[in-house]
Amino acid sequence: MDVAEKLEVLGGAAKYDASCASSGVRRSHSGGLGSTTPAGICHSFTPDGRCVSLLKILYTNHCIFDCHYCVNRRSSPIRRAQFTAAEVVRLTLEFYRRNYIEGLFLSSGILRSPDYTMEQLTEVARQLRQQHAFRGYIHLKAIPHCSRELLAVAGRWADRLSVNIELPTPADLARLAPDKSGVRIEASMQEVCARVQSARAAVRESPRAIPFAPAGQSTQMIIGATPSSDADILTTAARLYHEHQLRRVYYSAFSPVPHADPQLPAAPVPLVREHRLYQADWLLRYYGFQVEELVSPQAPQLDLELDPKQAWALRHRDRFPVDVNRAEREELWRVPGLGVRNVQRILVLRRHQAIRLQDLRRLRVALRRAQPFVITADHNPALARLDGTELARTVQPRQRQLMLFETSQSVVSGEL
Amino acid sequence: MEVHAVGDFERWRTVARALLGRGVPPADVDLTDTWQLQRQLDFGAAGGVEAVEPPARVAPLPQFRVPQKFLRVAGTVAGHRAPARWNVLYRVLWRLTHGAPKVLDIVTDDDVHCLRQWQHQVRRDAHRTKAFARFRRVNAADGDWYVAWHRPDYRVARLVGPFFRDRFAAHRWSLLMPDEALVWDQQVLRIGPGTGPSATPREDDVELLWVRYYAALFNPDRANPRGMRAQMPVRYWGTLPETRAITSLLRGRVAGRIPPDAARDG
Repeated sequence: MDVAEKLEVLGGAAKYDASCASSGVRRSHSGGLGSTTPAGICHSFTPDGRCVSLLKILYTNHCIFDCHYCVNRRSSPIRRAQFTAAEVVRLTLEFYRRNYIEGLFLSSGILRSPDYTMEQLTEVARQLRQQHAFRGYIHLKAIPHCSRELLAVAGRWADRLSVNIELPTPADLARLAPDKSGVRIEASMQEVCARVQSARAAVRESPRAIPFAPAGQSTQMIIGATPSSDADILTTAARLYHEHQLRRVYYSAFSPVPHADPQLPAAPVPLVREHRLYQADWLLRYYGFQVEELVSPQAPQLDLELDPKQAWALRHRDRFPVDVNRAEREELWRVPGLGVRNVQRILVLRRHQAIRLQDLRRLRVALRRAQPFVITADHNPALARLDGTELARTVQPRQRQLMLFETSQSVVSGEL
Repeated sequence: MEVHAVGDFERWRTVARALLGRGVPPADVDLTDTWQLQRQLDFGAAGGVEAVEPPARVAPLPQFRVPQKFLRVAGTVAGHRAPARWNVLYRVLWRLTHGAPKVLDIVTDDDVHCLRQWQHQVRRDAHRTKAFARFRRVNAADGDWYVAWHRPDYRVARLVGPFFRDRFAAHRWSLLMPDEALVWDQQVLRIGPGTGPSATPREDDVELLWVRYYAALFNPDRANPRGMRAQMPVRYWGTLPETRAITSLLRGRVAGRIPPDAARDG
């Protein structure tokens, strides 16, 4: 099989990994090839609207594990392929020089053993960094159950490591990924977290200290492959953010794989559910929300029709209206249609002048959603709707299409 | 009413500094944009090559305290095409130095809003240049060059030059654009006159690998061509080799064809 065919098989096999981030670390130019920027760059977009930022491939799609949801599982009758380290290195460098990519995201099926596989991945990263002075972005997947020593090596070459949590609950994992252990997966996360933190402290003391995965770690959770609720999903995500200092949790709507196991749903999960989870995730990380405010034992699923902040505001109308000229930052964050950046602009602007509706319009605040919830310096006729029964309908997106359009963006930014 | 012709940021800075020194209020001066005119005169002429200095590094105006932020905004807005930009910049500069030192905070002010919008448009254009410029390898007698031709909406060479120099310091490259070009010879980054799309080199073999990789990424369950076009507008497709695959990918999905990784089972 030639390199082009391998690329097709092993690129296609990696497309179920949601992460495309190439951000979070700045490395200045120091003679080699490449650089990284704090914001990351999307170099292309696929016809499913997703960003292409990294050469995202599997080292091999051979696998000794048999996770039911995975297209590469041992029992899946697919075409198998395997790269050599030299091939991956060459593809990365050639693509990078032509400005197709920000770097490499290398994952893999499990070949022989977790440790053997992880050694292959770290070898690719080592060659790129040491032999080719490659300074672009490298994201390595930490193979589940690999040794702590190999994680230590991987973090030395990679900008980011990720260990996939795979499914929302330990029971889900036991059912669909019998070879994987939730305890060992989280032990790996803990190991990475500790090393990232101690390396960061060392770099602060001496710039010459060896960094360890400076862009931190992320994880991915498949949603909708099991009946676990949005409450289960968000509770797990919040715990992972807290315990292992993750930079991101990626949510990947289950999409049926060929020759699927009968335990799995036959239809794909609606993408809008994934979109709502990203929005909720954003609220947890940047808007000061707690999981219990978004979902509850009585209502464990997010509303598919409304964004979660809007839904929260409709349930808590007693907290509104909020005066944009006086309210605290945290109160403004909770106004539907007001994003973190616009809140910052409002706080600066109101030191100089009273804010009126037309100012909000100029800031491109989504007034259709925000207007019934705010007091401005001038008369706001929409305030009358705050306690009306029609409010939920008037703040909904005008067309369903708009919502679907937003889904492609939600992995990049859950900005509300 | 005084009239001054201004074509680029350096010229604006010189003129604005002199006007400010003489206390000429913005209402008494008209800074007309000569860029379009200059372009026509320069057309076909060689030369005009100079080394690039990023706009952020220019010294502040002497005797006047102007926030660094304003100079950053001005350096970016200079690349826009709106003929009114020189007058608006001078008006805001005047206000900054005549009793409104915080005017940039008032983002809903007409002038500030205008500058911010222009700045946003030019920045996005610079970002897209970093994302969408596609280099091709050219074998020259004395080694390889990497050459890209890209069509931005504004003049972004000064904004993207340092980025490409840092990223591709290890090899020689040229980024050709209609109004200006960047050339890195591993010593100095130079900015020179623009060139048309005919300067694009012929495709190289790696491009075919890239197109195949791109095609393999498509998940037909998630097709969202509108989302794609919003992020990667069709006007850029001419220089993005991977976009050649899009029509057949989407057509294959409509016809209910099985995606490649499933078709090869067994």
